[in-house]
Amino acid sequence: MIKKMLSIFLVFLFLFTFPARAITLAPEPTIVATPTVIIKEKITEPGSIEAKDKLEALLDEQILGPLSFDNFLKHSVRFAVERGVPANTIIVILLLPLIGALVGVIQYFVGLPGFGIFMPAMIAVTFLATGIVGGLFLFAVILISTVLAGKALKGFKLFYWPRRSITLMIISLITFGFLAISPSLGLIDLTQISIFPILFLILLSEEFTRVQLGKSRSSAVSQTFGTLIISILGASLMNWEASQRLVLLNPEISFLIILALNIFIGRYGGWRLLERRRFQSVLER
Amino acid sequence: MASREEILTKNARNKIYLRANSIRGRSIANSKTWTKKVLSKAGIPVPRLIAVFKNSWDVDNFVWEKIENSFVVKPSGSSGGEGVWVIKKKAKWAGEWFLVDGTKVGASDLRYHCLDALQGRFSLGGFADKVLVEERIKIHPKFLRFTRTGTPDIRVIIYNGIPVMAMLRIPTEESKGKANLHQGAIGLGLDLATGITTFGVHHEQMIKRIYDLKRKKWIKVNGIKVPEWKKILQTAVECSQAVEGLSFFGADLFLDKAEGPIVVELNARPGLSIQICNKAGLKVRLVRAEGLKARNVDHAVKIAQTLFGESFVDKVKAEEGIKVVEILESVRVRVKSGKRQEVLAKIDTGALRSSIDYDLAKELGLLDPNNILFYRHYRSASARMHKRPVIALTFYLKGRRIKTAVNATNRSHLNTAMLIGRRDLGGFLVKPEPVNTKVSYR
Repeated sequence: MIKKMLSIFLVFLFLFTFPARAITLAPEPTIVATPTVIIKEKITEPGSIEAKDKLEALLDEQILGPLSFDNFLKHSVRFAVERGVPANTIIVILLLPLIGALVGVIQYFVGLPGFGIFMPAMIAVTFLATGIVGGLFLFAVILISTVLAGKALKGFKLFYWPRRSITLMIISLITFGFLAISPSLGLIDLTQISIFPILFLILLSEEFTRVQLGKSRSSAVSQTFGTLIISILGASLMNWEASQRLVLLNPEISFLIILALNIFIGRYGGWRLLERRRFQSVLER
Repeated sequence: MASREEILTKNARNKIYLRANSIRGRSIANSKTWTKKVLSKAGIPVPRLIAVFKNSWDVDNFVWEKIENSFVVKPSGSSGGEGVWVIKKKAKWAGEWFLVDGTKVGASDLRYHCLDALQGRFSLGGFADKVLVEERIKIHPKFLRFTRTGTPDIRVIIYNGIPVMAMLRIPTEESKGKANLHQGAIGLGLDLATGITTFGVHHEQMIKRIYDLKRKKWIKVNGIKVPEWKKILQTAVECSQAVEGLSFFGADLFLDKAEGPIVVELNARPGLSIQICNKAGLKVRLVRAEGLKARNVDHAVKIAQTLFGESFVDKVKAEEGIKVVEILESVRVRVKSGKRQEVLAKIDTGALRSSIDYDLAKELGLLDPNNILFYRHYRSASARMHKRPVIALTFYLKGRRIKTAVNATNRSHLNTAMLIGRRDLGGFLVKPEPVNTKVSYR
């Protein structure tokens, strides 16, 4: 529970400390040795002027009627943007419920278990920042260090929380080492990534250990797999221009769609995709 | 064997779980300590409790060496056999034990494990938990040929107070003596009427053979009889009466040679692989059991045995060959006293369920309330609602014993007092002679 609370706290930090973070944590373009590097357009980075302009230009194109029950959200979006809230922040916030619905789809239609809603939501946001391939690579490194830490600690008879804490320490060290050598290796430009996505990935691998310690390796693997699928889908959806447009220009409609989807999932009592294989032998004569 | 609509899927199971079980019922089933308390209060045999740990103080003050026999350490709130340690016997030195898989553990390991469990490592949601230490039930001699590592148990799924499906769960080396299918135990489907195994499942896959340790060879999974079957079903039904608010659950029972069935735990969200080893769908049985009202424990068992028992038609067919019946056959109906009464019956493949004349059934003492499984409501041609009792009946046709459920209807205006429908005609071939049944009857 503490972890969940911490996660919520981190999401809030992540979403509401943009101006501060831009100054303290975001890499200074002037220090980068090669100024010719093109900074990729990222919707999690408030500093990416290109993305911001494009989204706000979209808003400017839209003509709003007088305030009424069917456009109050549109008006609030406009109001917030005018007061200086970045449009990409609004998109991330408004698309979070979609990831919640995705968790439902993956669990009840496909049959893959996950780590709840917070974990996929956070990792989807992380993937937005790192790119999906880069994020998966980073996650692989973190996960391997988690498993190694678990193996190393097996012999010592430590209590549950201290063991988790030491695992976390080992992960932090390995990630730090990776970050330190990554520019010279030229794998992915990790220096472009702020600290929060990395923290989220560390938390996911920590969750992986928790399940592995409490339950079994196989359930930890399948849960991590499910979480990553949801995160990848969520990140792609958040990055998709059509959904960005929908949520920014027609927030009411997007919310109604998500609501309808959730009600449908909530009442669905039929087969899951993976159950077809499970019960195949029962169906055969 | 089952069609798609008959199978209970996870989504559907969770719906039933939420609808049929009250919050209190679920909480009782989720806590092994609470279940134990409720069941033993109702006089249902449970494994003897050695200790309950509520905090680390209890663990530190417990003297493990004073436990005489083998024992089991269980986190109260764990599910699927997680965090369960089965201790087989004392090792050479005091303060050391062997687990069923041969690992040696010391008192410090046990203490450490209990403290870990207390902190919620195995409980749902990681909340603080309790830990139980209870006696280990010895493997019933009948099952010793299948496992030496752990005690096999019998899972009976109950709905609305009626057993609907059952299986025998056999621990393996892989499952470390635990009988949970998720841990790698083997499940064998059980015929509810007889307690004889039918099919097998291991890792969600159908298996055909199981290793017999005594004869040192692989044998077929079917045809193994579980002793004290009726008693097992009765005990499972008693659990549903003892725990208020729990209507859909799986009862896990050990079979002790001296004491008979012992209830280990109740599971409000039983696993669905039981359908694989029974090659039958749960959903269709739940629908059947839905509206039924069992009068008492024996009645519930009777309903289950009659409605959900296997017919073994295929097996009989293979052994005796197909038997030919004519349109009119004389059958012998077993009366309550054990005697058999000869009745003339019409073979009618147009009907599903067999029926017997109401007055005749009454005369033979078959309408005893405990023999009536349920009432069927139907609308007759004159648009009046009728109640038609469905009764348990055993009859002999061409020397074959058929145990089934039949309608009791008014057949006084008809030529035959009994009609045999296609549900009971498996393994028979109907020869449409004599053509004019009326003439032949006269």
